[in-house]
Amino acid sequence: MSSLRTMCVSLARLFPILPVLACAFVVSMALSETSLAQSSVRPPEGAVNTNSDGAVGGAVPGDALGTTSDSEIWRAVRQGVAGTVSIPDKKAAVLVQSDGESWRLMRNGPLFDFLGLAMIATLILLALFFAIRGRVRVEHGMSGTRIKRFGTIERSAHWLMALSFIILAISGLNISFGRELIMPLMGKEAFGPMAWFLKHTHNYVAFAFMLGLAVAFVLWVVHNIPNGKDLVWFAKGGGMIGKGVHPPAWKFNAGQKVIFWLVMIGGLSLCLSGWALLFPFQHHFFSDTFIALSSIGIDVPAWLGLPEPPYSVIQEQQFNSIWHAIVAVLMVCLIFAHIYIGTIGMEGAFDAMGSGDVDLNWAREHHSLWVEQMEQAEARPSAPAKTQPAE
Amino acid sequence: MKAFLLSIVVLLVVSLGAGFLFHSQFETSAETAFSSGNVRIQ
Repeated sequence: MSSLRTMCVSLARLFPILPVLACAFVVSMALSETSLAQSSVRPPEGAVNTNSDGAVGGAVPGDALGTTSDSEIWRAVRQGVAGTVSIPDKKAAVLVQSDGESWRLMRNGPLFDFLGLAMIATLILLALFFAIRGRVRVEHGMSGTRIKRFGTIERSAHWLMALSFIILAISGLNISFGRELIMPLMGKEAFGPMAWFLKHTHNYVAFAFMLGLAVAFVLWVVHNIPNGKDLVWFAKGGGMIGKGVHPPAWKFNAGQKVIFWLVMIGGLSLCLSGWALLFPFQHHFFSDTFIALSSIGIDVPAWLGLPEPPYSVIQEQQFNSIWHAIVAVLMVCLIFAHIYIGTIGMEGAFDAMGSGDVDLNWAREHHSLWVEQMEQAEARPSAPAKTQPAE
Repeated sequence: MKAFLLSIVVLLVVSLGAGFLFHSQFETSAETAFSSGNVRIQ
């Protein structure tokens, strides 16, 4: 009771100054609101977050009142929170993209190491094969009679594809390995302009490769449809392992068909990923592909430890970059083998793409069914002659 | 040889043509890429 009485006495003493306290409270609140409005960095009312790919859905941590600590805000930024920007490049709304660092570490680290080793290993294997097997000779010797194998259009398409691929490979390898391997040898002053020139060459020669690939597909797809003779060819090792073995084949044998389809599929994949790199942030090839595959039960992101799609446009570019490099180097390894067998690996093979005419004995040993077909066509009265004596 | 030379001609024509068509798209100026007419600072 005594404490209650004491409290009442104290309130009675404060009663005369209550109006003063009330005024002070109102004024302080008003000043506080003015101060808050002037220092606010909140986006204008109705502002739209244009990037919803952030780690917390684009929301500012703690909202605009800043009820979270700085560490929480910066942690969210570090994890990829997206803000709002008024410049055309909306990707700038993400200050830190952690996937970019992972991509950089993988690209400049193990990826390029393995790709470089794959090319070196291919060359070593081909050299070993050549040392063991030697050159595949025409067993019955050159006949002196030649048969037309490829016409001008076919050879032009082949060389268009080949030349553009070689230019793309050299310029692409410079992009990937030039900084580490070439620049120390020639110096920054010379490497810079050379890299600039090769980068632009890579961009524009790509279109010539696309054209060559398309023309070659149209010209040769009919001859590269698999058939039962291909199994026989594989069973006999393509005649490459032992001597005196010549499995029958039409215009393209099974090995050439494998190269054809790998070049077509790999080339198409290179064209698509390259197109996405040329015209960046406009395509979602990986999101679309992974979602389509997951609909039939193939969960590629789970196999590879990747985040689930859909991906941001920046992630798409990173995937494109890695995929483009992997497919390109695999095709370089494949083309090493193709160049080997077309030049030093097999006697008489280069003539097919050189002059277009091959020796009849070479053709009979490697494409016997095709030669029979041509001879039958030649025997018909209406068909023009296909073979001609050597000069 | 004729086929090889023809392929070189086609390669040059296609590459230079692509360069002529797409150079402006590949080389976006900083003015276009990083600013706009309605930039607002609050």
